[in-house]
Amino acid sequence: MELFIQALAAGLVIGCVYCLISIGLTMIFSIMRIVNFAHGEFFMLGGYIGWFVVNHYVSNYWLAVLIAVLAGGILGFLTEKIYSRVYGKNLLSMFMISLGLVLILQNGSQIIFGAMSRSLFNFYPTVREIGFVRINDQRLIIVGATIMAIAGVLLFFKYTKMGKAMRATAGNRRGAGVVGIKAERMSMFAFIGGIALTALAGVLLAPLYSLLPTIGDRLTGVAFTCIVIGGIGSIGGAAIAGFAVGIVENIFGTYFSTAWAFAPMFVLLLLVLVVKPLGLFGKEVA
Amino acid sequence: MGRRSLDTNKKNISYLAGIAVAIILPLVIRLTGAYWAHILILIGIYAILATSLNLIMGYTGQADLAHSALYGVGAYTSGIIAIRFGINFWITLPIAGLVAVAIGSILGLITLRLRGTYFALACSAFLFLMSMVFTNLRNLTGGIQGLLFIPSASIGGFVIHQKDKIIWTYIVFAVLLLTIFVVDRVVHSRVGRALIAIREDEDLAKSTGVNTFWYKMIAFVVATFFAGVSGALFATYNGMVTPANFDIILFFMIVAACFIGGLGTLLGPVIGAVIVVLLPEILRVTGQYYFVIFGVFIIAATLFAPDGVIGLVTKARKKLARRQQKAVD
Amino acid sequence: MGTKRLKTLVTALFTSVVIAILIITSGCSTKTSTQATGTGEAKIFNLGAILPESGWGSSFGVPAMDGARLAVSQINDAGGFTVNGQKYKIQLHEYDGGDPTKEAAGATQLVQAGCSIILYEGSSDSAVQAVTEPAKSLLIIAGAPPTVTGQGIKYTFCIENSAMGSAFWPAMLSGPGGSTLFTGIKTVGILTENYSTCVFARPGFIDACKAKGFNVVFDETVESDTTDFSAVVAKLKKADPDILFFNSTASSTVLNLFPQMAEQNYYPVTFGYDSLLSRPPAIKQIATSGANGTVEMCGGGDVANGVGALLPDWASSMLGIDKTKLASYTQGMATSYPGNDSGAALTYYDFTYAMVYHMVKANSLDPDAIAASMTSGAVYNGGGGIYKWYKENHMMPYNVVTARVENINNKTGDCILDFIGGGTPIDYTYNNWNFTVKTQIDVQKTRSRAALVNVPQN
Repeated sequence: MELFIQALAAGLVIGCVYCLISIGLTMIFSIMRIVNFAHGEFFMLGGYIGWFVVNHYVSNYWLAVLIAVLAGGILGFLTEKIYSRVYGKNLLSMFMISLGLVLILQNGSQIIFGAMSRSLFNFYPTVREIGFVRINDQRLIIVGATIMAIAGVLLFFKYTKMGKAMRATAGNRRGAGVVGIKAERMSMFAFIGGIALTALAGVLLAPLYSLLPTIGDRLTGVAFTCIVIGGIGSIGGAAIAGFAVGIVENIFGTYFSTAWAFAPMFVLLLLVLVVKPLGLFGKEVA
Repeated sequence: MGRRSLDTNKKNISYLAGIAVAIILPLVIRLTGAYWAHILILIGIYAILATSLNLIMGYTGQADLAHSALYGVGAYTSGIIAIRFGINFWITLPIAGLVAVAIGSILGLITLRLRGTYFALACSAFLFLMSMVFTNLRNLTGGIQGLLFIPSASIGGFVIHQKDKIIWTYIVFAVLLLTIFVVDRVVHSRVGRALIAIREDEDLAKSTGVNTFWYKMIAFVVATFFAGVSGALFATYNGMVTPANFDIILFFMIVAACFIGGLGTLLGPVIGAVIVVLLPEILRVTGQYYFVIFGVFIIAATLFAPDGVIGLVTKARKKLARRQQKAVD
Repeated sequence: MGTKRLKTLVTALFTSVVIAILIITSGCSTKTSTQATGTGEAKIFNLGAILPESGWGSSFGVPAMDGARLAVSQINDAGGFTVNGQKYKIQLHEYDGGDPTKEAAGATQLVQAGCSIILYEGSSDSAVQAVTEPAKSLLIIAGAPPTVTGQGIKYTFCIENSAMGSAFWPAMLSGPGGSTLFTGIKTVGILTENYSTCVFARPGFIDACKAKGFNVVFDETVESDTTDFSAVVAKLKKADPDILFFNSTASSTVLNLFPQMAEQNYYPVTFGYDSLLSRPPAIKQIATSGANGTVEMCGGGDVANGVGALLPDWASSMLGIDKTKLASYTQGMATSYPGNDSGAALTYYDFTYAMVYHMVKANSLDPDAIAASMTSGAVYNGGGGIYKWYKENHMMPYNVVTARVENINNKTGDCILDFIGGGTPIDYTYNNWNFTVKTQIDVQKTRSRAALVNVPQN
């Protein structure tokens, strides 16, 4: 029982990270219909930028977080510029661009930061005992930041003008255009916000686990799994799916084989695609 | 009637030209050294893989992200049955293709009802799962170390080693010509027309009564057969296979080959394979930076030459024709 | 002109352009670093190196290539080497083995360029061997499975024998003649990295444990770049072995496993292979207090990486290492090669020097003569270790030193090493050892690493 609760807790924390990445991806995907296979690379970059700030400038974690998020926004802006040129063309053009981005970002990181692993110093290592669970402060920070981010994003989309405009574009691009919403601007903000969230996830997780140029690969797969399970276009769905995937992955790894720990996620993806492609909360979009 | 025989005439000339090039080329390459012969063989294998992928990606418009996994299935199959049962290469070759078809068909049955992005995602899930299978089923696949000492091909008593480059080149090119021939036949048949219709507008095709699922399956079967075959060629030529040979980078190469050469054309994947294998050689001097440069190249190609090399050539030809026309007027 | 004919023409044109490019660039595919041979006297000796400079293996390949380059430039600057009265300067032919499908082809190219010795590390060992053995090119590898230097192989030499992991770990557990490092073991756990040498060592180790009556209660494999060990730690806590062997050489395993175990307040008695001690300072810097008390084992070849200076006299003499010579060696490397952050650089630096040593010793450039010199017991005493190959399996004797790591400083990574034992294999099978135990550890009395350490956890 104790084992189960610990596995649940660990899965939940990882799930928070998956959650943030998936929300970022669903924002981009639902508005731009871009299959950004380079999504995980921005997570990796967020972590590395945070590391760079702490190691080479000021040893202040929160500053590193801020800079990582801002850098994420800038990267999102630049990436959108590239993707917008192939908007509307076939899926394969988009895929090729994301492929090029993966190569550039991953190998660029390897050249700049080196191929050996790096660690962002953990400023909050104090371990607390909550019932059966031992969890350190950094993990609690992750959970807290995720809750705030989810709340912020939901509120944004529900109540702000910009948020509503973005939802309109996601639902019906042409219809939104008719009422004067510029789709290009919406795409821009979707990308900026989405990539910033992903970079945030990266810098949040960095103090706990080593940074390698390759950590983004797997996370791209995770993000796509989550948005499919949760349903494209649904922020809440992506969030729930993120937690679910994290928990399932950790419990499977704990009770079964760690070598196959990532397998259930892909099997789950295939199952959902076959049974209910729209996902749990997906909406049919125009 | 007359026109059709003229077309087939021109096609036959193309094939003859292709065969002539295939015969002369290896000999010329041999003059420049065994290294380039190896590159040529790699180009051939990748060309087969890219041509088969093109049937699904270029002609049918489906983003099949699982193709390199089926190449891996073919490679491992031929290696495993050659090592365990001593079956010779000429039999393991088609068996590898058939096993790839079997697994590809299962994948297709599950996923071909899905559209666009969903299909791509399902295929990518399959790709990652297969990679885990290759790495973890140690007793079958040799795990992370892979299959070693795969028996070489032989005819009667004569063994074809890896160093017999010229013979291997002919084998690979023979299979490549066969692949192009089969794909050509498929494309220019009723099946092909259905596939192109699916690519252009799947809903429209469906509404006119085309059973899109089964046509996609046919494309899948043909394509995965040749993927498996090219895997068997690689495994037997290289003598060993490891999971590292079938990673996502390989898939990137093949897709890039299709795209850069020209999707939806017969020769596009071949030209693409040439570029994709030669580029690392030309860029070898850049060392670590090679992949970054390749990434930039791919993005530039996507933005500025989305129809690939064949597309550029076609555009240039049209421009030339228009200029000639203007000169006449 | 008809479409089809134009297409044919274009194809033919394109292919001929391709041929032209190939012919023109056929000389450009390898990088060669030459020293001026303007002396007129010295001949060229062609040394090849196939190392992964791009892609996944580049964290190893780039420093390794740098190490070889440094050695070549130092040797040439000193005037080269003399064999049979003829002076030679080395020309290093580099080939990037980042793409595994091209490694064997690279070997072909280097052999054709006249390289009679090729330094190598990559993932297509047997494919490369298929080229070098018939060509009688000596192939020198840092780490490879035993198949690579098995029966009948004449020209391949290798440091690290994966199978030895399965032989000398049990030796650490209960050495020959009753000398035992750890006593009181009933249950054992093993965490394996899904990497060739580690995977290969696992079955032999498990068999040896069973033969000694140890119950293997934990046996998991993780991918090389795993950083999240929460599932592993949870399982470990449940299984709670008396001692845990982490069968992994990946720095990310050590860097992440220990802090995560510490977070769960779990400090099993651990024993590792080459992970902490022989890693460069950059890695030590990050090892957290969670690693205090772990017993590390490192082999002769990797000792120079910061451990050598700390060796006690008995260990130095056992490894045949002259400490003053070692100190000046590492100092020299640090000055001429400031990027010295990996054992790979030192290993390939030493390889280059070792090969020159053997050519001079054999007084011949003939591969058979050089191979004979290498297996005759002739010793090249490099900074990084003793280079001497068994004639039976062309592998090096892997002397080991074990130390308990204490007082790790989180920020700087400095630590105290309490050397507790060491040994040399008696023969190439690694089944028999001369092993000396300085401090015996009873795992039943000191059930956790925390108790092993004199200073409390910080």
